[in-house]
Amino acid sequence: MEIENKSGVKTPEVKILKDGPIILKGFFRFRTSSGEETEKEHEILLCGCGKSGNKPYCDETHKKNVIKS
Amino acid sequence: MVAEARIMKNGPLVLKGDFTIIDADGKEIKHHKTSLLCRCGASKNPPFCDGTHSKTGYLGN
Repeated sequence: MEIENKSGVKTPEVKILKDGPIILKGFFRFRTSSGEETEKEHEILLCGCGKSGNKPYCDETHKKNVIKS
Repeated sequence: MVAEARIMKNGPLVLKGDFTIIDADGKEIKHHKTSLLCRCGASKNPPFCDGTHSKTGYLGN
């Protein structure tokens, strides 16, 4: 079976940071929960802590440890 | 087939196709044909989704 990617192109990467974002990097199709699709080179930081105010994207809320009463 | 990353509303990130997954320790995880990654931060089996989001009422676009 032919490899879809052009020769020399790496598979896209998903890097998970502890208590932090999920970094997606490379060529892939990205589909949001509202159904928007883009197929291209991406570098996206997604919220992996569950607390971003701008989901699905990371807004660095994971760096804030203090919960204000 | 181009690899796909899809956001499930109020749920995990779904990866389909060839990705290289690198976990929090820097270890490369054998990438599966379909993987669900936790977005709520509460999975007992990170980085993978274990369904905890449905118990916590996680809301996320």
